[in-house]
Amino acid sequence: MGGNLGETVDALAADFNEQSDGVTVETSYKGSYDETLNAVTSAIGAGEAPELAQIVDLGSRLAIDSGAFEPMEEALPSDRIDWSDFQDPVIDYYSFDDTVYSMPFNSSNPIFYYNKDMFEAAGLDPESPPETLAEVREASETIVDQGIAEQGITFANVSWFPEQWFAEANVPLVNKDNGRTTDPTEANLDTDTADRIFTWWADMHADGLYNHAGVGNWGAAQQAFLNGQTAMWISSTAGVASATAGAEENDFELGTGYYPTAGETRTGVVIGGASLWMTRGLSDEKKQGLTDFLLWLAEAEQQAFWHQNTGYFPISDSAVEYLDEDGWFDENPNFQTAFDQLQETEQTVATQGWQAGPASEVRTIIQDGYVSMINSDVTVDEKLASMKSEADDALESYIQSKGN
Amino acid sequence: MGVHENTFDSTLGAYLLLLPTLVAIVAFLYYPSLQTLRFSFFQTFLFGQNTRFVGLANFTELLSSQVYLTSVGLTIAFAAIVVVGSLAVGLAVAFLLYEVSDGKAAYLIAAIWPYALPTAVAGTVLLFLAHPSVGIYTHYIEAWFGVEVDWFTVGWQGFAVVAIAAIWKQIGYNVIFMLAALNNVPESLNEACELDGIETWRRLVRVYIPLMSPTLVFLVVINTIYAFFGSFALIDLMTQGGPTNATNLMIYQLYRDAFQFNNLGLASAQSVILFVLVAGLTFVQLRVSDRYAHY
Repeated sequence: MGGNLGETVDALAADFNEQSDGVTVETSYKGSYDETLNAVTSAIGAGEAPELAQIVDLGSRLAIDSGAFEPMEEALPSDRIDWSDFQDPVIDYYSFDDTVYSMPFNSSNPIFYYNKDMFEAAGLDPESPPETLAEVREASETIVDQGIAEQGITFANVSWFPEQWFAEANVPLVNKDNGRTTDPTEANLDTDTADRIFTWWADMHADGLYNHAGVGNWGAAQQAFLNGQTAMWISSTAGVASATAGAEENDFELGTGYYPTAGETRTGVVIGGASLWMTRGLSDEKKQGLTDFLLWLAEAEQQAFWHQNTGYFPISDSAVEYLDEDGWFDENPNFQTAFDQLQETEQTVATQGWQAGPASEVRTIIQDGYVSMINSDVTVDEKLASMKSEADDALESYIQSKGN
Repeated sequence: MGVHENTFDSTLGAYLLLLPTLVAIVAFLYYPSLQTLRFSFFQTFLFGQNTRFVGLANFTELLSSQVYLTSVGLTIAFAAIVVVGSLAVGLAVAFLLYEVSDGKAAYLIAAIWPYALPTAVAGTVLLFLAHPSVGIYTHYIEAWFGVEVDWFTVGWQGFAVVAIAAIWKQIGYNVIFMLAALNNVPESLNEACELDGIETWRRLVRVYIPLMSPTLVFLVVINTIYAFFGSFALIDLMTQGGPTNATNLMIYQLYRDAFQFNNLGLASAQSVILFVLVAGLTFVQLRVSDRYAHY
């Protein structure tokens, strides 16, 4: 992890090294999630996997299939860790066949941000943010019609957002229980839910209500929101800290709300982020050292430090209590929103989050697919059909390449 | 007879002196090339786990894929635009620099500066300067040309932005070589031109360009290679192959398949195709230019 996040990781490692006898943790930065996954898989190929690797949420299936990692629940001694203390949505995400495969590290949710000053200027209630996509559209229309902002809303074109709308609607993105039981073979891009989501998204752009920040361009979306080009923004809860600071700098009052849903159903959101994977076949000594480190990292104090400095969730109930007693959530209502949303999430296959070996390929298909909906004459339905067939091909060819 | 005039005739010594270079070339060039060729006949999982021989299947898959064929066409168009663009602009700038008498050094620095900038830095800076919604240039372009700038969404705009960036980045390099070639033009020719009263641009086209032809041939080849391979960083930082594959050049598609989608076999096949294409083009360029270049 880079920037402020990377510094926080290094600070944690340094703290650990200071308090431990004989065990030293070294960190190494490998770039973005994709680049890290790539660095790890190539290191595995060369037989030089790191002892502990941070792997992106959707890289889990690939990590399991690589055969290079030992399930965390088997690696860590059961008498030293209480898995029930962890947040359910977080631990569920990293569980396969009821076994925890990796140690959740940085976990976040998508969250809705809005400019309260603009809402007030437009005659909208600054205390009740839109809850559904239809309401986001209404608010956008009001704001744009009155010339208060150029567009109503902005967010990066990342597959993570439509995936969340699927989860809220309680519809899995892929078959085979959202890819949780075995390798999925089909993407549910031909469903009514998909149609509703993408029609809304494409229409928002066509009607000048949505600012398309570009594929994967989180930074540009944040900038457009903070400098007042739009009144609303969707991003990760990991951005709460920097958004709060940005709003102060630009002198407006920031509001946060639950992730808007595609329809009436609000099942919940899927966590995103990354987790830590332990390599197989380590010496007892190394394993012992890693165990110490991971258990230390999961302690309430470290979790609270991590959360306060980044906005990623504290992963255990005890860490939440620790923060609560400290008055943290009272002082930081925006973190409270993110947190309530996570705790109210119902546990279903859809909110557990999808998994597939070629996940990054499927995500690319979804993101690029949206772009062609808004820059060509193709209809949403036609495009969804071709996206589905491309995604299905990718899923199929992964199963084939894996062999046996 | 001084010691200096002894001929070096030790074969062993010669090999020893060549050894470091040979080792480096074999380890970092030939070996990976052979591995790439080998992998192009395999289906792979992750980074070379579970390889399975599939013969020419990777190649047939590529050559029957609409996405890939579009990418090939796009790459050739991109290369043509970048080569012609950067040579034409480079030549104009170099000629003006050659002719100018005041402030030559300042102009020269200004012209070469973009080349001194690492591509990654240039890409990041341009991304924000020309960003559709928060870019500094965007407002002026919209006001002057009456187009709505949205190169994150509109295909041809994405292509244009990357092509312009690639040309801009390469001008400095071309100017250096062209200026060196111009400075080699014998002063007597300049005087002859002056006596005959030949106008400036005619002098460039009729006198200088033929004299510069060996340099120009060299630059055509280098710029072609640059257009095929060197634009990667700009694309990765600015458009990621988008919008909807409008900037998905062969080198980027290759990177995607190898490093994002973990399909090493397919990517190796693309690497082989790309190599053959560029090697073929270079060969043709050298052959054709033999007829026109005066050495």
